Amino acid sequence: MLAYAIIFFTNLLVAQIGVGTTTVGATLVSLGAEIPDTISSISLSRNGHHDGAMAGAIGSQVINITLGVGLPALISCWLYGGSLLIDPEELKSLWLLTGLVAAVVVGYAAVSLPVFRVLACHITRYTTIKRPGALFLLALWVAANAVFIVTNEEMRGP
Amino acid sequence: MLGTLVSFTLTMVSSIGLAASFYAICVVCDGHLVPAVEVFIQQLRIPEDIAGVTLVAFGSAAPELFLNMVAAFQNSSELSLPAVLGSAVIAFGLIPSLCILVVAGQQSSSHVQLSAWPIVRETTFYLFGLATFCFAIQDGEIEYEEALGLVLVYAVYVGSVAGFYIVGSPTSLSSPSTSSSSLHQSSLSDAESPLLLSSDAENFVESKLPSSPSISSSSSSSSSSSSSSSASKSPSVKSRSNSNSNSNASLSLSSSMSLTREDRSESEGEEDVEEASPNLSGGHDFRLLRLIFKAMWEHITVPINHIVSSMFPSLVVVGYEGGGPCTPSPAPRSASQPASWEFPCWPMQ
Repeated sequence: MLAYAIIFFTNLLVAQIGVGTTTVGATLVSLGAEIPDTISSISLSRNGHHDGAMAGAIGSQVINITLGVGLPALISCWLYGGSLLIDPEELKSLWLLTGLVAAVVVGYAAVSLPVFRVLACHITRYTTIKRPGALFLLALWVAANAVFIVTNEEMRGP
Repeated sequence: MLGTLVSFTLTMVSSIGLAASFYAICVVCDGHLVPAVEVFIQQLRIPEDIAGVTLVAFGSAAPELFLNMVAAFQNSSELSLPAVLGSAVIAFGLIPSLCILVVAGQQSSSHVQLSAWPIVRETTFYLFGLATFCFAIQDGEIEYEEALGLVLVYAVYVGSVAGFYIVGSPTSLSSPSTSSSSLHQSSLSDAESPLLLSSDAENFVESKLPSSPSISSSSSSSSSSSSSSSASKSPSVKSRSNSNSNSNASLSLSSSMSLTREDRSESEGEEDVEEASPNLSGGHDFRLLRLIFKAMWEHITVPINHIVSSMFPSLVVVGYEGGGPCTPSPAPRSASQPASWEFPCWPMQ
């Protein structure tokens, strides 16, 4: 029910301010969908469950990209037959977004995992994230969003 | 001029509508999901990263799952697929950094210690899923087999998480994998574990409930939801939700028996593993299922009650049996309320 409301309001917003649906989907809708995730992760980590917070945030992304893409595609295949078609326009921005996601994931792994120590064969059970690493991740997120919005609107423009 | 005004109004209305939808999800999540997860972590004594993967992940992926479902019924992927990837950018970039910054500010230290293995596992599986996704969309359509493959990746993921949990993760074989905080909290519930071995565990646990520290936190999960609602200030309501969560907690306590067998990473729980495993029967699994369904049901009903009772304080929703904020009932156990710590409910403090 809420999802219907979100899709309805997003379509309304897209029709009004005149940006691409993919742009809005990748920034606004995903931000809205991640707000509960963010809040639950922060409340969990404030209560001391840092591992649970991290695992929840990223595990939900695994669910998102497997079940969240796979199940609707299955339903769509059953309902409409054939396959779930993706717009060529949308495909281009999807590729762009995939590259950005890969970059952010690599950045996250580089920040959160002790890469140099593992390369030196010191496998540790715990890892630490320092404040500069967190700020770097934040900057990476802002940069990825900015790059996506600008490039996607440019691709859509002509 | 009129057109501009109309479009501006529509934009505002749609923004407010979006914000309201997201706020409703926030209420559900923060008031009910996180306490539920805390109870699960403490009562079932599963490591917190497992709880995070299974419960938190499903709870927080639910909005997008529903969004994608609705988009699939409309046979358009223009909104849902970018939303999936964009939320991945947020989840990898924004959430960890915010968590670290908040926690570092709270502890006034410059770093936060985490277990490395869950991060490796999740990141690997995410990249695996992303590669499958790329393979699926490269020809401009997601076919039946490709969708099935994506679902299969998830099955493999859950299977490997459960497998590593049972066998023990590569880095946690030597010592408990939980961090110090959850170890401390699970040692609280370890004080209860001998009680489970008695034949009528539930009655015994119920009689012990008001004095035990681990239950007080679980009852505060309900009392935080009731204290956040403006309509439920009376002590009878609070004790009602208290007794309700007591039955919840006894359910989860008795169902934790069925999980102690796999719980090899716990060093303290070893002596009751041997003693509890003969008592295992299928009934506990149904209790766990019942608990999960109850939590899901409360996900739906409690926020509706919350919103309705905050708008109309005099209105009492009839026929609601979830034990939530606004069901007044006679007080069976008002004198023996545990001294519960208030659950810190983040932004609604």
